[in-house]
Amino acid sequence: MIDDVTSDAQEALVLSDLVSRVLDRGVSVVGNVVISVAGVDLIRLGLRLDLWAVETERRWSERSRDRPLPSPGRALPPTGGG
Amino acid sequence: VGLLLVCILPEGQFPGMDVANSRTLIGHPLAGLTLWVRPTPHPPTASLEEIRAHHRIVADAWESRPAVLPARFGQWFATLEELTAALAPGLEGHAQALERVAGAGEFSVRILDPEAIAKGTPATPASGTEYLRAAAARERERAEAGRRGGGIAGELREALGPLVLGERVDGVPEPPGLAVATHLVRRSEERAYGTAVDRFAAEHRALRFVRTGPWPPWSFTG
Repeated sequence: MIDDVTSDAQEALVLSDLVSRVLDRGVSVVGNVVISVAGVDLIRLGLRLDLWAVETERRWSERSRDRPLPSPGRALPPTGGG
Repeated sequence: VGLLLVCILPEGQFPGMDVANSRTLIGHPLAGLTLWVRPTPHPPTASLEEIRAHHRIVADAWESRPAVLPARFGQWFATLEELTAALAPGLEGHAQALERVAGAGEFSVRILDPEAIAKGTPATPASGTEYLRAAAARERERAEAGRRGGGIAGELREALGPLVLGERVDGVPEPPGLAVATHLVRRSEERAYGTAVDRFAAEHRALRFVRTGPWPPWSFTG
């Protein structure tokens, strides 16, 4: 378990999980809902956040390749009350 | 005034001051359920703030009430009649789902393989042929990563045993991600779950496991 990812990566992962849940999960009674803000599709935004988080992970992994793996650690707490 | 569906709770569970934005929430009883809705004249204009606000209401309800089914953001109805008509076909399923998620939350575990980065294909091909070969190679890698991720998620699920009440496994589109496993876990067993996941991670040190949660049961409403 990763316990020393950067705080930016933590925030990105949690935000990505939050956005993907609120927009893509939960009870759906009207089928797909098209949501956009100023021409930006938030579902795409969520995907970009996810990719950004993974990219941050990648950079972290590259940096840590030459040092021992971290010991198991705590979970990442979600923000926003979840 | 239109209505934005936020979440579904058991009978008699109305919004109170223990919930964010409670003054803008209405609880509407419907066939043994309570619908939490926000009166709003127009479909929502989405933003990260609105998404966070939606999640905050769900999370507060989840923390303080026996069970909650989060509703996907953006489901707006012009009238109460339209809302109840849309919900009518699934009422029995919602009641069963509420029983299933009572006293539980969910965690997501990203399964990552740092070594998968090294297998990446060229980003800027020199020709159309090279582009197609690279695309085919990426697709093969993606499929292989999905198979590996599914296998590891299965091992994790087996290791967690009865700590997991429900599971969902999703693929990850790009390396180093292999899969995301989402588990429904009793709130009283969150600590034991975390310990068990960490133990599994320690036994698979070539991989990385990143956990987020606990979340309200967004992934187990069906």
